[in-house]
Amino acid sequence: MKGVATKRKVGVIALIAGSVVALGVVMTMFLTQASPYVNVEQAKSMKGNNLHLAGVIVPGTITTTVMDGSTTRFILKDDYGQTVPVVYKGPAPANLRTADRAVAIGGMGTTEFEARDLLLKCPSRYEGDGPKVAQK
Amino acid sequence: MLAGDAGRILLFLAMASFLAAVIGSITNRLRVSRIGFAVGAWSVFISFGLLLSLTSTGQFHYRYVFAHSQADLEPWYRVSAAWAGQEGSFLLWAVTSAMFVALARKKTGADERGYLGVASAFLMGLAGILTFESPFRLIDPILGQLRTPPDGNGLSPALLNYWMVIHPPTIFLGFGSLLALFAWAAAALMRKNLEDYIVPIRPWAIISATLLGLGLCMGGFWAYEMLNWGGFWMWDPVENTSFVPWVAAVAFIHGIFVQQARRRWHIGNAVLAAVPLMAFCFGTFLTRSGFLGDQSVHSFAQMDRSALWILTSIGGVTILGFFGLVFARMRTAKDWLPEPRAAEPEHILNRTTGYGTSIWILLAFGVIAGVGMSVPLIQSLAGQAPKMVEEKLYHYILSWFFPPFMLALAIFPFITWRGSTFKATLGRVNQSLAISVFITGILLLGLRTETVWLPMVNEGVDTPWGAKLPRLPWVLFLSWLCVFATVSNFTRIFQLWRTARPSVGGLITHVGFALSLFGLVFSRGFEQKTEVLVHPDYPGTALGYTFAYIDRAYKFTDRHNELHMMVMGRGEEFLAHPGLYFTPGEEEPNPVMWPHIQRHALWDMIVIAYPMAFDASGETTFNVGEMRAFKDITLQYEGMRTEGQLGTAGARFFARFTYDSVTMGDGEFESMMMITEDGPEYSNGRIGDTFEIRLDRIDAATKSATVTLFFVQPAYPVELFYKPLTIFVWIGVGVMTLGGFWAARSRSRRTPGPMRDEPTGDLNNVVQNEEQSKQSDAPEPITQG
Repeated sequence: MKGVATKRKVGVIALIAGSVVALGVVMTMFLTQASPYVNVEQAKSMKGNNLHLAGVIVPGTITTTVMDGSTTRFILKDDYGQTVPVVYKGPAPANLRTADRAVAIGGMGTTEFEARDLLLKCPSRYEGDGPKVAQK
Repeated sequence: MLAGDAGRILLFLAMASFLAAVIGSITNRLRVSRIGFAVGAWSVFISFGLLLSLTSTGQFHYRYVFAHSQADLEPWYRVSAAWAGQEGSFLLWAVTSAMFVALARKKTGADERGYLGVASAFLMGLAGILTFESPFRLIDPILGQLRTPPDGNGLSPALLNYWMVIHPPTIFLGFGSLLALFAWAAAALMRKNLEDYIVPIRPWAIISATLLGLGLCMGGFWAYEMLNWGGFWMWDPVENTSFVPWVAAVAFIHGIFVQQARRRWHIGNAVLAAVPLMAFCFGTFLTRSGFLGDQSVHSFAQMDRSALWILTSIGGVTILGFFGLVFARMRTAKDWLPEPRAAEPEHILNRTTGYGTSIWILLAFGVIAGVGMSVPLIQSLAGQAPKMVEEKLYHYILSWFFPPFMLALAIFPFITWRGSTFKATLGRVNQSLAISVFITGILLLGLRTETVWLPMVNEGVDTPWGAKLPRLPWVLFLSWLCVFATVSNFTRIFQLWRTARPSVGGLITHVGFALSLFGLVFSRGFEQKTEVLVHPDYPGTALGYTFAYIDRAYKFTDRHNELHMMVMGRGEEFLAHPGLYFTPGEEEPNPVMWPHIQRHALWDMIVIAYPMAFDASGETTFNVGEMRAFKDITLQYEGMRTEGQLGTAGARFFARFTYDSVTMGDGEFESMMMITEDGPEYSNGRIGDTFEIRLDRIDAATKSATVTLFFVQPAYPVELFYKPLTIFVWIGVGVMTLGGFWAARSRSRRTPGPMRDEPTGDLNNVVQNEEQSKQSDAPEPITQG
């Protein structure tokens, strides 16, 4: 019985140690491989197609063509005022023109940031919790 | 008195009553505790009833009602407004928690005092949050007077879906059940008796896991139909907040078996009973505190700081308090924990190791989801730049655990408490193995005739170690794992049906779970996605279908508006009617879309219509004499001319084109651009009734012309998804739910006493006996060592 108890203790310790190592590996993978938020300058110097480039869409720069598969182009200005043309293959997301902030996910091509996905932050009438009344 | 005043008073009364219940529990006055809890619970129930009445009757002078309800909403949406916002969802959490605590109370026996005390303390915290995050606040007075606005903001368009009525109450029932599990385990720990509660808590744990699982699946269906278009799950932080408690609850259910049979894992099981609520509190904190920023598709308003402080406190006290209690009890565990049954399994492959392995893998899933959603918090605490965890990163990491998990699900139902050799175990599953390989082979052949997988032969799946796996064999391998688990559990049900029918509930949930996973893996792995442009004059063609635009149902401002398209191909013809309408925006209208899903027995076709487009070509530059093709039109630039004084207002530029088209014949036109003081003005050329051609600019030096083609009538970009075998997701969820309730019902009826106190230390229940009679290599019952 004593041998069994010892074996059990060793097993439990091994299990805990293994779990801690596995947890460390999982955390490392998440932290190292999670997609970084970048600005325009960083986007131009970094490789990969998981860059999250955040900024505002420069008004009047959105163009879309739909003839041979939708393509959307616009100019994105980051928080430091730098701009970059962005191209997105696919139908323009619903709220692209009303978004006050956009995150283009993808990587830098030759001259354009090639987005494989767009996340948009839109002003919404559903955010308020009270009626807006004009003051007389 | 306004209903809202009553609601506010009731929430304060609830807080005070729960406090009385806690004091009653601490001072060993059970009657006080019972009355305090009952008054608190009824106060919460009635206040929720009041909120329902406010949202249903459109009392827009309440902020919450104004923000989430609307006069012209259907009655069921006005009811669902009660849980559409942050305050309402907290109140619903309090209601379901109080309800489950009340329902399970009668079964808690000697643990009742501690149980009511712990549960009431938690509920007091929730009631405290609701006093700050109150759904009963009035809007600001207008010119000193409270006036009822004629209408409210209404539900967000994404919430105008029937799942909004069903999904939140279901999953909140699951969340509510977590408090009962937590409080019961804590009370048992306080009483230093982790034996008595384990049998009566089991059906409640099963109900909890079933409701959470059902709620999660409903959320997945909602995403499939409305939000994520063809995707059931995207590892969103809010989804993870539900997922982690669910896997922990499932792990607890499996841990109970070992405690009952082996008298082991008492402390571990108590922790497993408590982890679901702790995980939910942590997830709630993450999703509502603002740490996740824009990383969730679910959005919640920023919490009131005092309410957030209370939420953080009750979460912290829940986690730290429970683990403090665990460590305190562990120090004296030898004095009060029962001796484990002495008999030891003969082989390492036995039920104890089987349950243990399954629990660790389940917890690994939970930890991965929990760590993934915590990355922004970890980054923030480390002072590092924010990072985003994408869906595929979850898949990378989880793919390591998926194969062993599915193999465990397939094989472990066949192993016994005493254990058996790998060879003997393999002998028990070889039939299922063969059948599953056969079914997967059939699938492969079936897909080949559909030519679904042929385009995928050269596609790869990214892996975290950088290499690419060929997609087809990888998806088939994952599918086979699911089929294997389905077949083996089905086989086990068949074996046990006559002799141990109450035991098959768990196996039915296994079958349902494996079927659902099969549907998820297969439909995602073999989905096809493409885009087609649908125009009244130009039907689009994709995935073997032709899409012909007919008309729209209503105005674009009507939320019931749909586009009608006749879809023909693959031997069928149907009317697709994807939804598209616009809500008012600050600068431009906001489009709202929802898909048409054409369901077939073996596959779904999802059709999503995007807002109308007029710009057909983008800017295109022609040199003189140059020809270009657009659809069936060949366009040739013949040259330019000018009128007026160049460089001054009034100057006009003309570009002349000829065209040749199968459908519109041939002809010529001129497009004109005039310089004015207010900018350019255009007179566009036309090709039939289909295209207009705008002259954007002319290069005087090269005489090249840059033009843009526009559709005269709008065209609609349409996104298409082909999703094979999604029906198994639905079937699987139904089977899983049925199995869950079956298991809960049968476990609540069974009297396990003799088994636990068996003098021989017999580890075998009816399943084991069945094993002995059916398997030639079946183990003998273990005798006490």
